[in-house]
Amino acid sequence: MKFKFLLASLVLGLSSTAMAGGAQDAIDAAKKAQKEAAAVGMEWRDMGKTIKKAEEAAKDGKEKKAIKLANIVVMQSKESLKQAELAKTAGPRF
Amino acid sequence: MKKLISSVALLIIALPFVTVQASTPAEDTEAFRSYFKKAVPDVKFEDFQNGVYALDADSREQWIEIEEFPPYELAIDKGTELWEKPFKNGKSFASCFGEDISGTRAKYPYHDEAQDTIVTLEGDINKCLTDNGEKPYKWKKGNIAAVSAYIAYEGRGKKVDVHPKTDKAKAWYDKGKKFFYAKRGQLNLACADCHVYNFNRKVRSELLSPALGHPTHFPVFRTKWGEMGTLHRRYGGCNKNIRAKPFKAQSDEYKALEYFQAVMSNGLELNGPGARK
Ligand code: HEC
Repeated sequence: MKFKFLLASLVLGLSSTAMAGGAQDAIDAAKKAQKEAAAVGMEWRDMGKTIKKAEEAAKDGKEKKAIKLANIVVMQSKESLKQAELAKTAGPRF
Repeated sequence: MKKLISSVALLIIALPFVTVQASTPAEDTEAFRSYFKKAVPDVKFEDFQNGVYALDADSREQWIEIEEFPPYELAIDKGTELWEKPFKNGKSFASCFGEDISGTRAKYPYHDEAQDTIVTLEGDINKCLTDNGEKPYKWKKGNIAAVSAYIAYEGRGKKVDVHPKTDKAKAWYDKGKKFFYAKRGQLNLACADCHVYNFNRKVRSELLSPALGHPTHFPVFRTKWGEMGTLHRRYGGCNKNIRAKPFKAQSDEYKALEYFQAVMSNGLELNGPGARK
């Protein structure tokens, strides 16, 4: 299924996304990414929730976890911008 | 010289039309209908107003059972009560919609050329309230669904008849059409993926309804909700299910979507309010 592929590419993508810069940088980037997705009408449901979780993790001193969560949102936003691009020419296939 | 200028002008005017996809809303409707006809040749066109219950005998039986004690009856009663109750200024809903509302449901949704927006029944219910100094209802359920149910009930039997005529109206139609066919959310699914290409199949335990006929019976009493809800409430639910952030009820996105879905369902009978699992 396409969805599995998407998940897999999300997970793979994580390891290549910046780990340096600390949790706050990652969370700021996630927030910016969420805004970009919303601006093209393609925000995913759990972006806000995931950012909140990242913030909680950061507060608890779990920097690695916070960065990981924030990076998920950044990856999701990239996918959603692709969806927005494709949406411009969306139409029936019959 | 004048001739040259005018032919250049003509070219510039004509150009966008050459590049844009050429199908008109009427042609889209035709193609949409034939798709469903081919997919389920045994289902009669007029039965598409019944959603999943049109698809097979089992579901049809469930529907007849539900309709024996229609769960939306309380909402019609509540709607009637609200309809008749005067506002503080002595006016009432009838001051906005008129006394004879047999044709009211069928007027919506429509494109307002001056405001360049899509006007929905729910939008006008709340406009009537605010125009008369009353507080507007919440958008997705409760009183708004009750008044909408009453108007739908009084307007049963008329047909969906929505035709974008002006360029502005067609732009709204196109916006709704794109929304319907665009993949979104974490599951990367379009409305069409479930309600066109996979209708009549099951996702988890639920049979997927055909998009043809989607807007005929709203507002709806949904067993899962245990109450009534508007079409835009349902849109929000379907967007959440594919893990997309839902838009607000009566947002431009959902108004355009409603407009597009109505055009696709032209010619079907309005049979709201409805009941679904
Ligand atoms: C993952 C599949 C899926 C997607 C994608 C999806 N829906 Fe649904 N939808 C369902 C299911 C399941 C139901 C409940 C069973 C039914 O009536 O189809 C439903 C019900 C509905 C209903 C109520 C049908 C009725 O007869 O009362 C409407 C209207 C609707 N969807 C519209 C949409 C629109 C518009 C979109 C795109 C924004 C959409 N759906 C996207 C799965 C989906």
